[in-house]
Amino acid sequence: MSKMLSGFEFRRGTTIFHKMDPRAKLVYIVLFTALSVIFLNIFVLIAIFFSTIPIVLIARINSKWWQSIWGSKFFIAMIFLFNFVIFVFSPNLNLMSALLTATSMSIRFLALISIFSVFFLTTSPEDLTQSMVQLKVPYDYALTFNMAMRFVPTLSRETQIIMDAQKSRGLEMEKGNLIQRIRNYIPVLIPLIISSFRRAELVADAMESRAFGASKKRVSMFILTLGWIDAAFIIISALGFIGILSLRLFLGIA
Amino acid sequence: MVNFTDDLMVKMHSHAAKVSKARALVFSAVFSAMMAVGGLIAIPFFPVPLTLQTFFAYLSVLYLKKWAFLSQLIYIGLGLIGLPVFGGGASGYSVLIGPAGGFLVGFIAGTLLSGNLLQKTAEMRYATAAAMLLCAAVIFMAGWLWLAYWLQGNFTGALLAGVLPFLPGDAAKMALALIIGKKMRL
Repeated sequence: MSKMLSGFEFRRGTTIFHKMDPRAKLVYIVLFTALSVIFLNIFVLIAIFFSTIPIVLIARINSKWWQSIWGSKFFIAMIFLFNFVIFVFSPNLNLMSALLTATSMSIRFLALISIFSVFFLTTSPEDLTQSMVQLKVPYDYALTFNMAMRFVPTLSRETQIIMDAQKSRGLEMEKGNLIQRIRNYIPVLIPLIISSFRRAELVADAMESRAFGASKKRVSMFILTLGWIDAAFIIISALGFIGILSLRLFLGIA
Repeated sequence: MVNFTDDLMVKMHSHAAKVSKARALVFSAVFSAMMAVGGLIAIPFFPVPLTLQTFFAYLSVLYLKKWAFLSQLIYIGLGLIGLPVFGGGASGYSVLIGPAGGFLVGFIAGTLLSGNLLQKTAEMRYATAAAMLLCAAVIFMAGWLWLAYWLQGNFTGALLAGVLPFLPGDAAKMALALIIGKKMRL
């Protein structure tokens, strides 16, 4: 799991795509995730998936991107099996269409992961927060969002470490009845909660010592502005969106 | 471990008088990250696998009280913008409008209501248990109604598929949250 999340962690870069305004990239992810949810046609979904590859190459994030794709193989297998089983048990069984639907569901997941991972690999949390503030999200919420975004990969790695440590001490998780199984998680939960609270205490102390919230009016050091590259990217994504959507409107491909 | 908790609790009681905004925000962020991690830990069990998500939702009510809703709001926001934090590594708004989306909305509504209730009644006996029951009731009510809407108004079917199988596990998680929550204070 933490493998897949590490494919979402920002690394500093100097490519065009790293320097782009997060709002332009937000337009892109909103339009293209909408497309991958609208369509179920396997070829369209493959095309959406491959449309992210030029961005991956331009931003030179191939190894990290591949890590998030490869790390999601377990989830993809689960989605495939789940959709396949549902179709097998449906009243009018058709093996071919069941296989097809399960495959396109998995490719849809793959396309979504690819789009999101491109976004997160190239967008720094500060820029994302700043763009949220400029989109009129209250600063407190934007800041909390930013912090939560940073905590997720850390905590998931920590959970894995704690679970491995407790297993190496002989903790058997998949054993016993309902109550027993939940109790098995106490040796994982307590260290997890304590360590995350200590982390939070540190951050809160740092913020308080810098008098967070003392001045009512905030100003930012950097203001994000939409340049011509951002405008061009928005136009390209909009054209791509309209182009693919017209497949459905005019050719009737679902 | 014992030393760690004692140390932490002393620290926390000293802050019990007034919670600064910085502290509330940071702890909301940590709880939303814990929600995300909790969705990924699945305990295999019949008839449905248990995730620790609702456990952290209950715990956030006990711990953050009136700020609990913020942790849930941020958690949904993380999923909406694309981090794979919803159950089973899913993300995006398709989950929110999908069959299980009612539960996610219920997380916000339930923690908002019960957190504010607990904030007002914190000194009373059984207040924590009452708040937690209210939180669970709102979460399951929202999940049930939305699932029934998805199943074209089949309320019994939604009850059998989306509510009843989860109740025993959630009762156990509530008990666990009560035990752990009793030892903590913001």
